Amino acid sequence: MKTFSGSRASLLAITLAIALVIPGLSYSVLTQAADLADDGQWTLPGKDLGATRFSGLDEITAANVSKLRSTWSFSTGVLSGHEGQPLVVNNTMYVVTPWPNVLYAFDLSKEDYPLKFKYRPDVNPAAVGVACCDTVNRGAVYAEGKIVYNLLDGHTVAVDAETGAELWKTKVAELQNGETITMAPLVVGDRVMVGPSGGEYGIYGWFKALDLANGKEVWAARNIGPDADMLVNPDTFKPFYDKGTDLGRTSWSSDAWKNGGAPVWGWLTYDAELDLVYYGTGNPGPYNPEQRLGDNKWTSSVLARRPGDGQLIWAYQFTPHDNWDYDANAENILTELNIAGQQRKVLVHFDKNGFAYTLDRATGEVLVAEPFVDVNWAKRIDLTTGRPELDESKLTGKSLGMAQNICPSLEGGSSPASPASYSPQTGLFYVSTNNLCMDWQSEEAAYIQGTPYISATIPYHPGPGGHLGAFIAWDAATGKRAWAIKEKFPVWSGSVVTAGDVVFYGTLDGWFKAANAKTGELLWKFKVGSGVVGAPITYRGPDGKQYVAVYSGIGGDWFLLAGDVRSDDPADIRPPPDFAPDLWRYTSQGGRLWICAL
Amino acid sequence: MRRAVKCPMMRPMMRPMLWAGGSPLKNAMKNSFNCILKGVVSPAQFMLPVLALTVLTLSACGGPESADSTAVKTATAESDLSAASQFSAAQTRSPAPGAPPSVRYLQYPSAGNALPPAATLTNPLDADSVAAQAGEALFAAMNCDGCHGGGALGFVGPSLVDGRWRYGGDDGAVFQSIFYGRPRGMPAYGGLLNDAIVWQLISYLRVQPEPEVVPTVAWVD
Repeated sequence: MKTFSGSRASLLAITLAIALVIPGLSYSVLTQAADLADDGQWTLPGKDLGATRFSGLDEITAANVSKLRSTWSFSTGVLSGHEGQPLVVNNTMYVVTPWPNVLYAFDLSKEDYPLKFKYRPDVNPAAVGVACCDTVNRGAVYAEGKIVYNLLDGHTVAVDAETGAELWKTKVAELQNGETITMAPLVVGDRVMVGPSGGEYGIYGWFKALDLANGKEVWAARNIGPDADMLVNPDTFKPFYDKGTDLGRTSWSSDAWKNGGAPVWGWLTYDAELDLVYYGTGNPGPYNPEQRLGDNKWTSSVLARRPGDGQLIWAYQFTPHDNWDYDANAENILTELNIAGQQRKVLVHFDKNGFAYTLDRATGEVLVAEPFVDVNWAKRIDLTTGRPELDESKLTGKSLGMAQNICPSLEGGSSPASPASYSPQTGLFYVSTNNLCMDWQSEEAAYIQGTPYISATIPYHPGPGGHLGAFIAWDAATGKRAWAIKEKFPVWSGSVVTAGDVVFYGTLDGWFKAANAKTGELLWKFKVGSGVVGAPITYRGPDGKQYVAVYSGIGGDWFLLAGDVRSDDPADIRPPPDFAPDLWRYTSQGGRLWICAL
Repeated sequence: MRRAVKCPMMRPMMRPMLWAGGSPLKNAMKNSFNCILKGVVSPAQFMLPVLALTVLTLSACGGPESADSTAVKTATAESDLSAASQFSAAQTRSPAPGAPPSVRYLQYPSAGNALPPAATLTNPLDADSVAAQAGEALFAAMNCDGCHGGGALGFVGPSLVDGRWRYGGDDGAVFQSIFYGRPRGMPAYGGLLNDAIVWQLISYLRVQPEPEVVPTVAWVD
């Protein structure tokens, strides 16, 4: 058993690393506490610490899912994009809304699921304008009787899961610096891990650990900058492909790292055996790469840190000198795969840049990297160097004028907002994808604290094939697509896959769908009233039945892109985008929680 | 070297006030601007009293110190409300001739139909193409386009050229929005930009072509 090397090892009473072998499955799940093993509940954003979003429940199957029906729904009263997922703990369902970040707690043990409480945090409305892309929240985490989540205005809160009482509230991000928080925190032992949004505001990106007991900051590490700020010890920091000290500073021209971005707005995972927490960093700023020559480490990267003291153990940069806003904030799903005859502990990541990466999660070595959508900015990833082989004609920069037809667009081959799932039964990953390309014209950007640091014009257009998105199944051991369901619009929801071999996802035009996880056959769909950008979950109700829950409520980037899908502000009317001129005909804003059962 | 000349000071005033005729304000601004040029006050110090009008007043550079000597009308419980209303009605804006027939947010409703002084601000640079060009450059340089989009067509923040205004569309309201910010995220630029520069930005917005029709039926081909 591994323990933290920090001073708080004695407090890790609940962090026994249990290798739990599920009968009939050929893999092991590392669990943090006994309730994580209970498929009746959903206590972490990604279901388990490896964020597989796999549930062992099997009442709903490919054979009977066509009989699934809505049994209950609830309007959250909030219109912004409903990303993330509910939690289910002790027969209570917890729902965090977009700003103003209301926490609802529904009593699932009573008829009609009345609220146990409704927690209304004190949250600064100014955050609405500092959030780059709608006022989303990607959910909460449960640990030790607390619901912990982030407020858009830069606070982390812990709420008593039974009473709704605010137990602590800690300011971790600075609105004045362009920082907001949209990510779901993860609790590892007695540490709450959080990071900021703000890659479009020239932030100096960071990652922090708070004490679960009282919210006090235990350590804080920068994602870019000098080794001392990044909590890099040259003796223990061993990136697989890079050597040298102060890489987070020397891989930038002049002092560009000081406003270099590297936000953390995606998902966190943790391997108890290796005692490493994994997170992706977002884009470097500004968008004009000529203002920040060099690789710009460690933006658009995955970082592996020790949760005890924050030390960086390894890092890998998916997109060096990111020219295209290819944030690497997508989930890093942890499992074991047989790769070329060898069983490996891997991390699987579907990057915005269009490549699916299978990494050795102990070292950061790239084992497989293949495009999962149409990609043309790079020809391939060189596995000996870990670097992309670029197509020079797709580079961007102020001096290069309008770079044409870059695929994928900055919405990503897959958006980090739409986390994938993994079934150990099928061995497949289930991924929402976008089929968009872009042109790119950079301008000189001026850093003004608290204002956007972007300066680029980036028109989108549809990728090849006549569809704007697809829901796909991916074999991460070989780097091949197993099947695909083409969708008219980009697919922006998360997914959940079950032991019943059913996978659930949603679409921007407001359908909640179920497919056969083995074949990709569409088995069921239900119109939920607004586009789905949230991630479905499944759980066992107090009556013993299997339920599936999901949010509807279009938003996130689609708040910016979908055209006229809001009706609450007569001063904000948007023409439809030319790449998706019809989307507004099928959806409008509106947050709602849906529960379905057989 | 500080305070070589006597310059604007902020002074709380007990009663709300209305500007009559505008000349005291203009004089105050002119005098204050001279003080900015002399480097003894910052643009922010200058503009703060000009805009925080209901509780603040000026004593101008070298001018009389007493706020009471400024020509003001007061609207208090004892004063003649109908007179105040009459006064305000004269200040109420109507849409510019030829403006599109649409929802237009000219200004918040005013209690007693009495416009606060800020609403009576008018852009001294209006229709000045040089100012508009400077404003266009500023619109990018100040990162306005980062939220409101290139050409102010709207992005995270709303369009500023579609004839619809969330917080009021006349000069005073737009000035307030830029200078002091707005509650849902518009940053306050008044600490960074002086009034002349803010007016240049407004000039840029004003020379953008008004939409022929502000659509009230959305985007049907």
